[in-house]
Amino acid sequence: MKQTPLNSKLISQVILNDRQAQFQLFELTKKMVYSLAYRVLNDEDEAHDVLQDTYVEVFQNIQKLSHPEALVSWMKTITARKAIQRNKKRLNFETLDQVEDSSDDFESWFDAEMLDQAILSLPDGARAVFVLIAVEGYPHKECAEILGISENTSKSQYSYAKGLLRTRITNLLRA
Amino acid sequence: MQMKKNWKEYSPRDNAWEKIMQKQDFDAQLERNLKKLPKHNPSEFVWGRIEQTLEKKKRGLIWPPFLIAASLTGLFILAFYLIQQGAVVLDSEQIPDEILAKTPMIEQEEPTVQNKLKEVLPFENESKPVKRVKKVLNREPTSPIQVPKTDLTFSRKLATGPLHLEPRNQYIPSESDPRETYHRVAISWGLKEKTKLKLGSQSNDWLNNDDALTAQEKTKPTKNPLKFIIK
Repeated sequence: MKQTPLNSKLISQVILNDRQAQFQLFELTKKMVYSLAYRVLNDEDEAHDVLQDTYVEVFQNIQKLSHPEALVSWMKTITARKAIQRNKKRLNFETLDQVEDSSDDFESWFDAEMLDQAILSLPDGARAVFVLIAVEGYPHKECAEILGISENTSKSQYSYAKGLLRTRITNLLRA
Repeated sequence: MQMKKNWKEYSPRDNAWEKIMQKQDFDAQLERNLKKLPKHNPSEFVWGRIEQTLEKKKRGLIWPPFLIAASLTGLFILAFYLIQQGAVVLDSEQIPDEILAKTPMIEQEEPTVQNKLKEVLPFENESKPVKRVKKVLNREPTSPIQVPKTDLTFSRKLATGPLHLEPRNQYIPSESDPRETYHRVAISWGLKEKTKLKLGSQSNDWLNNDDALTAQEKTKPTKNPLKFIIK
């Protein structure tokens, strides 16, 4: 099936509740939405639930979107909020005392697959912060607001996540 | 004039440059690989579930306004039907006098029982067109409806007749004991006369009767010795 590019015409058709246009939008954005949900939750079933809830909310409230060009970032925010809300009970932000020592030398090369694997091995809190800031590009202020934490906590958790990633990637390379 | 401070200089470790390069290397690799992160693909059945949910919500959104509109229409139809049937009668006092003056007056017949029934039961007048008229009636008291009197008293066949008791002889108190009273009681049900003889108005002799005592009292030895009084 020929895919329509994500443009204002498609968005206006989605606003008019055109099911075909909705499906086109779903096909264009499903990987982006699912990947974000999966990286935050690290659970396929829960990520699917979040994906479903996100699209239902998007199709029901797209009329309220004042700037249709911001559709993708709006969808990302909905997904992130829903994933965090679902993972709220498991989210605990470790204190800096518990930071692993990352003084080992790093002299290797790693690829995106390995990085993805290492991200998924992070603790829930640090992973959520790292995904929102490093992967999705949210500023610390917005990330802190989504997660319900302070900006400083967001910054410290990001550094903590980076240190852990370095260690985990080293371990993965050694294995 | 420039003052040159002679601060002591410290030397970093020998491997500092390598560490910086390594860190830069890690950050650079991280930065580069973050852009190439693999995209995860969701299940093929997700769209079906999304469609189902959207249909359910759509149905849920349509029903409440439809139900409200349907109930309002129903109420209007019911009200219209009741007005047409004449069950709801407008009060003539609420109609302005000007409108009433323009309305042709129709002399109404003398109210009979049938006419009254027609007023009370409006469904009897379904075929006839309804005309709203102002009643011009002489409010004279109408003759009361004659209802045949029925004898509500009990039939003599059901009630028992008067008892013909024997005439009593006049009681003559005995001269020896003026306290003695004489009662004769006639019990009507069995038409059987029972005579009680009571000696003395405050005598408690009846308490000595065996029938009035309980079994315990009967077996209990009495302190008072048995007396025989012979008169």
